Formats: sequence, structure tokens, C-alpha cells
Amino acid sequence: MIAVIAALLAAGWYAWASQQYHRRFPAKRVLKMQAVAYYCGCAVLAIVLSPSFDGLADESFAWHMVQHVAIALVAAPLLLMGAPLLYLLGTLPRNAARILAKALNAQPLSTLFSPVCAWLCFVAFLWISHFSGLYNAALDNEWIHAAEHAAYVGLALLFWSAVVQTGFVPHPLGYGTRMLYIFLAIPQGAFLGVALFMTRAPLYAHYVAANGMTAALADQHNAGAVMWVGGGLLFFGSFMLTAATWAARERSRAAIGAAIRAASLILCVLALRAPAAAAIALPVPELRQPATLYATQCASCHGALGQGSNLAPSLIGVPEVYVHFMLDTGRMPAQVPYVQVVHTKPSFTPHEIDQLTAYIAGTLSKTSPRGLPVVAPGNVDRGRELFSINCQQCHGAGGAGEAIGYGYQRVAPSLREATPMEVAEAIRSGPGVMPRFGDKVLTDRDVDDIAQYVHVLTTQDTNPGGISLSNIGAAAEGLVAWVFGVGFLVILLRRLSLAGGTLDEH
Amino acid sequence: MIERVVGWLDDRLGGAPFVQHALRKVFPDHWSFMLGEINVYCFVVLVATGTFLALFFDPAATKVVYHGGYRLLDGVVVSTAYASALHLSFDVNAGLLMRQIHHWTALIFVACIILHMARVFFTGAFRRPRELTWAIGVGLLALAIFEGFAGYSLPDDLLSGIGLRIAHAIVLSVPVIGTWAAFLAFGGAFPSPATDSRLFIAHVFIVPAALATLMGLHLALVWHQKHTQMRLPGRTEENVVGSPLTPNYSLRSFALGAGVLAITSALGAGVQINPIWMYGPYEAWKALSPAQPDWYMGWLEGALRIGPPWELHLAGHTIPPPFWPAVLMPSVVFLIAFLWPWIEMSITRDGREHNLCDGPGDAPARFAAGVALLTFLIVLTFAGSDDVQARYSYVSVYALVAVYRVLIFVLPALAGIVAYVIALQLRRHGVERQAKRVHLYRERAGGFEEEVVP
Repeated sequence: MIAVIAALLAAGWYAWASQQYHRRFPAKRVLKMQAVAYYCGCAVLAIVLSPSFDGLADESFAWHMVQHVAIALVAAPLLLMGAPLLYLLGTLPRNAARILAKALNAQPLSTLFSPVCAWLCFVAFLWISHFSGLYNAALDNEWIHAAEHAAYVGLALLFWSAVVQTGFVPHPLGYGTRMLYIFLAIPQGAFLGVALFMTRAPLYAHYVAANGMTAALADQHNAGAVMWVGGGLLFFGSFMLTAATWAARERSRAAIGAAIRAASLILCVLALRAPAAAAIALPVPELRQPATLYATQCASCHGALGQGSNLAPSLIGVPEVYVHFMLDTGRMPAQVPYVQVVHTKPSFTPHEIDQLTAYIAGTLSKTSPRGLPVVAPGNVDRGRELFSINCQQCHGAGGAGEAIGYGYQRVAPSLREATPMEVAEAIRSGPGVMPRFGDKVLTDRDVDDIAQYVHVLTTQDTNPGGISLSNIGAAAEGLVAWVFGVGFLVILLRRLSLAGGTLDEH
Repeated sequence: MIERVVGWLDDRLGGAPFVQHALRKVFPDHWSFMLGEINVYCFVVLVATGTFLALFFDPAATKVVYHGGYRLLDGVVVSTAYASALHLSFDVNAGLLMRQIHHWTALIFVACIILHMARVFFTGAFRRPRELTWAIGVGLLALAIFEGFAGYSLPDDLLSGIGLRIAHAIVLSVPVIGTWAAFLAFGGAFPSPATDSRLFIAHVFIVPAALATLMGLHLALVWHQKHTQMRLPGRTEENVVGSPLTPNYSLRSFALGAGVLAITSALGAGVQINPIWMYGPYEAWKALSPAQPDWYMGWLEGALRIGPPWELHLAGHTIPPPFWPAVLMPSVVFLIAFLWPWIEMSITRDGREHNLCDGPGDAPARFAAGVALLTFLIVLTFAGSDDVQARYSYVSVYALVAVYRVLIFVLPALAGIVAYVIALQLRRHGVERQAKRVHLYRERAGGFEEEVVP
């Protein structure tokens, strides 16, 4: 509410100041368009900062982004078009005006208004406000939020003061420089949008609390798209406007030609980018419910009912622990069929993995629910013995992994990234060509011990001899001996033989 | 004082003329002539570090409960050999460092022997009068490879036990005498408690003594027959051009020795080699992977991996599959290497003395044969680590075996042909270059006369 009142006050002040100015300097022409732009800016501020819009922004990150984009990229340049600084100086008492003008032209303020500084301040604040605790703090505290919005308005005015050069101008800039200035701002805005768009986890706890994990992430992706596409178009519009103003001012064909060429270049870039953004933005599912996740991420290969296809095996009868292992280690969803899946970052959040596992095990595979293994701290010494009998034939004594098997299951993977839980799940489920070890072969205690040993082997220093060479063994050692040992000696020999003189004998 | 001592010695021994002569002995300057010297320094490092290790290592097969620095094996029943290897790695000051320097030096030792051999082979330096030096050199290589194998088999860890098991199977595969030979060599059925102490005696006494003796003989022959030298201006069959032993060459040689010590120490201190604690003690029912021998055994490992599965039954005797790749193939390779000076002489009918080195262009057929043989051995060595290549490339290990079975025939043939063509080009180039070498003489009248130098 305070913001709306402030916007209205700013509009009222402008009406009064422009009249005063007109009275004081009757000879100076005041453009009506300038006043219209200023009032529009005030109106935009009043709308996007109104309590009802704030409510929307409080619920949805995407709407919040609309609010920020409107403040920074619409309201601020519109306000500046009204030349408010000129009217401020024109309506102040003469001495005060002189002091203010002097201050604006003198060291600290003039540095602040210099284009490089203005650009950096604005861009830095954009990034910091989104990727630090500031955003979350602002969402939870009314006053920080107000201060944040005020900073947006102030820094956006600073940013645009280099572009919208009407009235009193602290730092006059040529049109070409102004176009470059805007042009440089386009990619960083796009990067910010893309960065938000590509996130794999919600950034702000506030929205997670309000909407839940999956909805918050989808909302966050939408916010990224708003910044990416909306912000990009606004920057581009201002770029075109600058070009057009330049062309109109110069009335020279060369300038028009240059402006059009530059504009069309940027248009091409944007034209290539916007549809891509839209195309990626569309399929983000509104709801990441397990059934939806299965239908969108799994069913294309495993079939709608888990019956399998020629691309992937049937899920019917597959135990819960196997499903969880494949999802938790990021092996599923696989990108390409008939290629061995490897440990990677999971595609889903832990919560989604639990839900999806329960869905597949309960609804599709219909196995008796035996639950996931519970790993307790085990005995390392027993674990080493069990590991050496059961595991190291394929995974290697150092857990480096080894080539095995037929078909596309070619490698027993490295254990270096495996958590104790994953080790236990792999033992109990037997992924790929690995045998499944039931509780008649390895008891729960045995599994705990093995998991503990793998944990110690992979996390503690079991390579006191120096660089471990990935524990590949003699093949890597031979390579090192030849490349570094023999290589060094041959280079040394060649350098030594340069030194000698010659002498005859007999 | 020094003068008096030296004078006293000279009075008794009368060696002054010889030493004076020896200190002025000339060594050729080309860098490749110092490759053999690396091996002398490697041997010194090996003996020094090996002596240290032998102070702490006990090859006994009796079982003990391990207690010591490697906590993950604490309380495990292991052989005394394995326990003492762990003890010297974890509880003896600088023990692990010495073990690692020893092992890295061994790898470099064999590598430089082969480089040295390649230099001698490709320059034809094995020809009369140096056939014996060459034959002793081949013997040194065989001894060094066996010494290396015996060395890394000593600690009785799982990896070395698997290696010994393979060696045992290879000995068994020899027709007729295989079983008896295996019993004799390993001291009973495998695994036998006698094996490790036999390997120990071979590794620390018999083979090093043989190596030192042959090395001395090798060097004495080099000293007596003098060095060969590259075919450069001023070098003839009758002279040696280079640097005198003192002060030039000895300084250079000391620098090389320091270089050997530096690189082996650096590798020993910074790069882990053969972590026997990770492999665990050898037990016949256990296995591990990736399991490779040290690189110089890689060609035999590769031959076993891609060898043909032929099994013959002749007159009541079985010739099992390992015989072909692991007994016959290396025997043939070493026989060819050993006899090469005489094989070549019988082909070229060239029995003259040669003190100047050949280039590839001087003997294209020899160059091609050497390249083909080296390629053959390199392909085999790479085939010996096909599982590691499969693991990191995600290519099926069975596909790699098939590929190597083709490459082992194709690549050596191809490399030999390419080498032959290149050598012929070099010969033509060399002839043209030589033809252009002329001497200019100024005549009395003031004009110039040109004379082509052969």
C-alpha cells in the first residue's frame, strides 16, 4: 500500500513540478509525450506494487518475476522519459539546485552514474537477489521485501539513466554506445532466465512451503521463462527504440542502415532463441505426481502398464529395491536404450523417487512389499573378508570397476560413488548382470559389513603410497613408467648429449 | 698425500699406464648411446633399495595373525611373507618409499633395456665383432624380466598369487615334462609353501648375481671392442669420435645417474604402485580384477588372452592351450632375438667387421623386420590389458579380443611394409645427399675444381 501511495505522490509531484518549470522557463518546450510516459511509469508501479498483485507474487514465483521485470524494465525507463531530474533541478531553489547539479557532476555521484558502474550495479543486484538468501529473506519479511523493491526501482533508474537521456543528463552517451550498453545486458538477462529455467530443485523455501516441491519447481521454471523471453523482448524493444531515435535524429541513411543492420542481427538471435525457450517451457508438467511421472518419464519404454517393450524389459515382478536403486542412482530414466546405464545425478527429488518407487512396485510390478534395506553400521574386518570373496572379482580390490559380461551390460561399475544404501540395494536386487544375493547367501549383517567396508575403502585414505592411478593397477603403472619415467630420462639424455665436445682416438 | 698413496699403489700394481689410458677413453656423443648406461644406474638403485627391503622381508609361508599399520587387515591370518611385506610398508620408516622406488625402478629398468636393445638392433651394432655382446644382452633382458616377475610375486598378495598360478599353469602345459617341471620348480602341488622362499633366493641372490656377472661381461666387451658410432663426417671404421671419459663424459654420466635417482625417487614418493594391502592375502579361492602383470609381462598375458584354444592329444600326451602362446611363442621370439646376428649374417653373407652404425636406409629389410617384431610385441602387450580398455571405453571385452586377434596379424605386417617403404625412401634420399658432397680445389691459375666426395 505504501508503494502505491508513493507512486501516486510521485505522479502528483511531477504534475506540480512540470507546471512550476513551465512558469519559470516559459521559453522551454515541454513535450506532452514525456509527461504521458512518466504517468504510465507511475501507473505501472502502482499496479505491480498494489496489495492484490503482491498477493499473487507471494504465491507464485512466476508472478513475482513479472512484478520485478515490470519494475525494472518497464516502469523505470518510462519514469526517466519524463525527465524527472530536470524538473527536480528546475523547481528547487536556485542555490539548492546548483549544489545538487554540482554534486551530480562531481566525483562520487558521477562515478556512480557512469555507464560501466551503473550497468554492473544493476546486473550484480539482479543476480545476487535471485541466487542468495536475500530473496528468501525478502519473502518472509515485509520490510526487507519493501527495501528490495526500492532497490530494484533505484538501481533500474540508475541503469536506464545511461539509455534514456532526456532532460538533465549526468553522463551524456552517444547512440551507438547506448545500443551496445543494452545489447550487453541481453545475454546476462537470458542467462539468468536460463539458469532458473534449468534448475533441478526449488531455490526458495517460501514457495516450497506454499505450493509443495513439484509445483514450486514448475513455477520456478515458468519464472525463468518470464525472465528469459519477457526480459529479452523488453531489452530488445528498448534497443530498437534507441536505434529508431538515433535514425530519426541523424536523418542520415548511413545511421539508419547501421541501426537496421544491428537490430536485425539481434532480432535473428532472439528469433532463434524465443521459440526454443517456448518449446522447452511448454512440456513442463504442472503436476509431478507419480502416475504422471511414470507416464511421461518411464512409460515410453516400459509400457503404460509396465509390461515392457522392445526397448526395455517388463517391470512386472521387479522388486521395490531394484526400482529404488535404479532411480536413486540416476540410472533410470535411461537416455538411450541398449546402452549400459551408469551412475549419474538422479532425475527426481528424493521425495519423488520414493513416490515413484511405491507407485511402480505397488501398482505395476505387484511384488510383495518387502521394503528397502535398512543399513546399519557394520564390522569393517568382516566386510573386507566378505568383499574379497563376493565382490572384488568384478568390482576390483580397490573398487575401480572392471569389464565383464555380455551384451550391453559390459562393465561392473566403480564403487567410488556408491553410498552404503546403494551398495545394500545393489546386493539385494542384483542390477544388470550382477547376481542377486538373497538373505540365505548374505545375511542383513553381512550386507551391513560389506557396505561399511566399501564406505571405508572409498572414503578413507587407503592409498598411502601417493597418487592412486584410480586403482587400475599394473596397466596404469606401466603407462606411467613409460611416459614419465622413460620419457623424462630420454629428454634428459638428449639435453646431456648437447653438452659434449669431440675428440679423436687412434 | 694423495700422490703418495697413488704412487704406493702404482708401485705394487703397476696400473698407471692402464688407468691413464682408461681415463682418456673416448665415448660417442649421440644421446642414444647412453640408453644402456641408464640400466647400470637402475641396477644400482635396485640393489640399494632391494638390500633395504631384504632386511625386513621374510618369505616364510607359515601363518601368522597380522597386527600392524594397515587397520583393515588387523587380526587376519596371513602368511609370514605377506605380513612382513605389510610390516615393511606400514611400520618401517621409509619402507613404503623404498618398496615403491624399487618397483618403479624395475619398470623403468626393463623399459630402458628394450630401448637400448632397439637402438643396437636398428643401427646394426650387433654385427661382427659384437655378436657376443648382443647375445649376452638378450640374456640380460630375459633375466631382468624373470627377476621382475619373481620380485612382484614375493609379497604373497592376491594379485601375485594369481600371477604365480598362471606361471604354474604355463609350466604344466609343457608337453611330457610339464608336470615334473612344475613339481620341481614350485616345490610340490600348487600352492606350495616352498615356492616363496625359492623365489626369494632367486630374486635376491641367484638372478642378481647372474645379472651382475653378465653385465660386467657385457661392459668388458664394450670396453675392449670400443663403441660403434653414427655414420657422420670424420667418423670411420678405424676411429672413435666423441668425448673423453674424464672430465667430459664422466660428468655427463654422473648427471644421468642423478637423473635416474631423481625420477625413480619422485615416482616412488608420489605415485602409488602395487598396493598389496588392498589386494589382500592370496587365497586360492579368491580372485580380483583388473588383474594385470607388470608391463614387461604384458606381452605374455596378452598372448594368453588372445591365444588360440587348441588342445592336442599326441601319443598319449596332451598339449594344452597355454602351450602355444605362453611357451612356444616366447621361446621363438627369444630364439630369434638371440640368434639374430647369425641369422642376418647368413642372409647377407656379410662377415666383415662393422664399427659404423647403419641407418634405416642402409638395411631396409632389417629395419622392416625389427619394426614388425616390435609391433607384434606391442600389440600383444596392449591385448594384455584389454579388460581395462573395455572398462573405460565401454566396448565389449569380447569384441576387443576379436579385434586384437585380427590386429596381431595385420598390424605387424602393415608396420613392416610401411617401414620398408620408408627405409627405401631414406636410402634414395641418403644417396642423393651423399652425391652432392663435394670438395672444391683452387687451381694455380685461380680457377676452381670440383671433386665429389664418396
